[in-house]
Amino acid sequence: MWLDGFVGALSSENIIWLFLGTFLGLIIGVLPALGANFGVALMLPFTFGLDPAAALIFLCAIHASTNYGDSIASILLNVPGGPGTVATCWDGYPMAQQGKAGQALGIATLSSFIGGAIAWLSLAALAKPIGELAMIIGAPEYFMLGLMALSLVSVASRGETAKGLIMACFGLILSTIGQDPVTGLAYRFTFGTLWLEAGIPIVVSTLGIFAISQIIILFEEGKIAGKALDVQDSVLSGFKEVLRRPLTLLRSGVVGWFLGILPALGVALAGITSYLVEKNYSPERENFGKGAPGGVVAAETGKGACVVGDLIPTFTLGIPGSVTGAILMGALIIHGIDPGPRFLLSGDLPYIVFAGLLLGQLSYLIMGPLACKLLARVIFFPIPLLAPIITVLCFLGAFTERNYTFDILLMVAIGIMSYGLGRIGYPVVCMVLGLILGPIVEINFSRSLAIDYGSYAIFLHRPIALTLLTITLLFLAWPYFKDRLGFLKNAGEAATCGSDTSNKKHRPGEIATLLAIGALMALFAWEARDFNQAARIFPLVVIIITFMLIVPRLIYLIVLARQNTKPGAAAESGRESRPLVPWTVTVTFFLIYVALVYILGFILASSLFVVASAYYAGYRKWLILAFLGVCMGIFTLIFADALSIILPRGVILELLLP
Amino acid sequence: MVNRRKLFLGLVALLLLALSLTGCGSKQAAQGEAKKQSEPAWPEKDIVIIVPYKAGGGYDIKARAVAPLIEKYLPKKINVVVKNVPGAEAKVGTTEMANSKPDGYTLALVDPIQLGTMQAQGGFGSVDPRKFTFLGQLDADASLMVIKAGGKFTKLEDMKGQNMSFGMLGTNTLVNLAVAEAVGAKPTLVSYESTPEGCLAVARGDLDTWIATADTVFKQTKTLEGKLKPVLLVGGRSAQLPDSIKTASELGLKLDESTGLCRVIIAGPANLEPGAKKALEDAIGKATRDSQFTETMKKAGYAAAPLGGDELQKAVSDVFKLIDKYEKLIPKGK
Repeated sequence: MWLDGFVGALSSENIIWLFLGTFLGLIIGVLPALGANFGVALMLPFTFGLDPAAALIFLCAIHASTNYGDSIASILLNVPGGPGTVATCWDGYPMAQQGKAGQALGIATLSSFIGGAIAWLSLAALAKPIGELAMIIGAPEYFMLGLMALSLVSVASRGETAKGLIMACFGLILSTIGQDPVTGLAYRFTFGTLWLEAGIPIVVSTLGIFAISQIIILFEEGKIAGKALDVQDSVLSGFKEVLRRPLTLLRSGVVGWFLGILPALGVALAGITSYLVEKNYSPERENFGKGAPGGVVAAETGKGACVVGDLIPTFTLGIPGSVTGAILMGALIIHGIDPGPRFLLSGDLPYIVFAGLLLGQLSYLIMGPLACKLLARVIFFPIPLLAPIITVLCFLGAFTERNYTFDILLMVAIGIMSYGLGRIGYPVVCMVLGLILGPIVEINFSRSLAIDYGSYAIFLHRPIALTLLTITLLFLAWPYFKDRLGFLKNAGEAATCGSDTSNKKHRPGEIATLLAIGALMALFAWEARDFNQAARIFPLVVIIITFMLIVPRLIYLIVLARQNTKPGAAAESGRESRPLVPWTVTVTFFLIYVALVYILGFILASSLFVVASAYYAGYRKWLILAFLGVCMGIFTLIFADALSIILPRGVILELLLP
Repeated sequence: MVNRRKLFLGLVALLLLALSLTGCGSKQAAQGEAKKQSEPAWPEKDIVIIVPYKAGGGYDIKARAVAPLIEKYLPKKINVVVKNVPGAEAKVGTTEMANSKPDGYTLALVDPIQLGTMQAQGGFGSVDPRKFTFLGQLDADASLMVIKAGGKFTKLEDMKGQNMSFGMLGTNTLVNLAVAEAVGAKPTLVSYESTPEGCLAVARGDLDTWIATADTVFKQTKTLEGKLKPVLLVGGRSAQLPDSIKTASELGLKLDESTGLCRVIIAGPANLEPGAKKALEDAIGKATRDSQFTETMKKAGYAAAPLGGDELQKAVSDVFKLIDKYEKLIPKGK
């Protein structure tokens, strides 16, 4: 049957669809902000009329290559191509800045493939036992997994523990905005805004946190930061770097695979968790964040394993492991295959699907490096042209997630906030962890209590949950017991809340930020008084913990500030170089762009934004600017028309053409 | 040079404006031509059907199955486009439809039980779903109740007086509460994201029961190979389920079967323009009776159940009366 599956998948017609899917997937993946969900969902209707095998191979190829293609933007531009490649930016982009873009891309290619292959092998060999695993992992175990993942805040914020915890709590409270997942009756912290009742989606938040804030930096720096990023070094050198790190592959592959087979945890979490776990154990951990190849290997392997691992519960249990999995499941059903334990009993087609999954991974392994050289030309674009184009793509990505114009505003607001937090040295990755894990922790805690009708003893009756809790506590405690001297030193650092990490220059900003967060928490606490009890508990606990972190930190900062009021003490390092476009101007442009989307519609607003912002950033070639503006309008028009997306028309067009 | 630059930029701006108008107005131009030839006045532009859930799910599949057929039967050639607007258990997408102009160009897929329940919970604010214009039904599915095979409950009688956790999806709140009342159980509603997830929780023993659309739940009983036991059908007999699964009436339960009948209906905002309403009712009625629609639904594992006109209005009205009857049981929000 397996052989029949591969033979079927390799028929001439299916090969064409395989390569077409890979090609389209690479293009969609490379475009920042448009991830696999988008690619698979929008290609799905085109497959309705196809032969089932061709349709499924096409979709599997898109699924594989969009996830891979996401890495390219992350490495070359420091803008995540999709939620799964957030962690790839952290070492991939620094590598590119050091002139090792090719190596980074090669690492991403092979790591992603190996991660996917590990998961594929487990799918092929162990589908049934893995399906059984999902039977014993329930709400208490998910809750403990969520806590375990939250404990990675300590790794993500090493040396900045207090800041990291504050950010994690901030992310947790942001994750509670919207309809409460426990009772569905309370609409928390929405202040009457309908679109906030649906919460803050991960795509919009990661776009804001990593893409928008990076665009602000790109405009400030005015050049591809660092040295020329020509992809002249060998992609194959990246392959060698991967093969030199078998332990990293194993650790990250297992983490990504595990997070993939458990439904609903998501590829964003897999990439970040694999990275942070590797950061804890890798011999090159000191270089993580500065261009460590191991960081890219970890993030990409974890992501690749999760992307295919997600399909295990999808195929074996009929429970989609992710949104993309749900769409693929819909495609399977439409084409006559029922996911579940009887999946493999539906003739040849399921084996063709399995073969298609592996071939999808192989095809991007072959086409990817070729595409990298071609697509990497984008880095030669002048920043005044490149940054506005990426902004438009981010706006498109944010809008297409849920078809809310409001999401564009939300993304910009989160982006501005993240930029500010990054400037004062707060680790926004911890905020992302909070945003992703908040709903998982809250809803699974509530479900756990319901098992024993409100009794907390349920956690004592679940050995796997207890084991996970023990592992979490050991994980947190281990660094302090590792070395007695190290224990004393680390404990001292923890107790002083990172006393060495408060930058005098940013202190007023930090104080203002903490006061603002505190005020927001107070407002939320006041709002929460009207919620039902089940909807109120989690936000209040987070708010209380946040205050317990903010107040000592504020006191500490104020005391430090008073100690440093001697004349001359405030003299800091020399003036920064003049930015190409100050962040205040970039933010203003973003906000005007958002307003124009509402007023003039997306197409016209995008064209005007690109021309105006490029001109302001110093690009004066009128012909090119005009051409770019027109091209951007045409691109968004074709994009919307081809993929049946209804872009906002704007108030004025609505009046002119009701 | 400056003047030429300004002129050039002005021309470019005009071109961009033209693009925007072209993108939005090409159909109007085409219809403008058609109008001259005494064709019906409506529709003049694309119609949008809002699916208030993410792409790939049941509602999405049904909408995409019927959209091309509605196009086929409308009096004029325009596109019927499906737009996914998920969020807050269908509230955001439904509200977008409700607040749109009642000109027939913005419709949505709705379930009147869910609308009524959400309204009773206070979730709809100023929007009154009872005033929507209900145009045509795509399908109607009974609800199937499953428990864990070999678990602490073996039959409905075991549930009397017992604490029971019911999996909640948003769309099944009413049937959960009605069944709990009928069997005498003390319900705790526990939120889950989807039927496969909820059924897995039941199979695992983390949840006592799951009640949702029969076809989807029955598939899970096969998927989970004997770990689930179907015990009750609410909403009438389902053709795809074996006769061994009894309905509430057959079991003599004091339970209104309608609480478990999940309907998927295309609706427009209140006070829909009469010409548009008639054209849509005709087109949707024909589309849902088209053999291609039936085939596509069957292939996807659903059964088409077209309904329109006075029968549909009565069915919807009966649903809202049912909501009023059970209103005291429905938990209220803020």
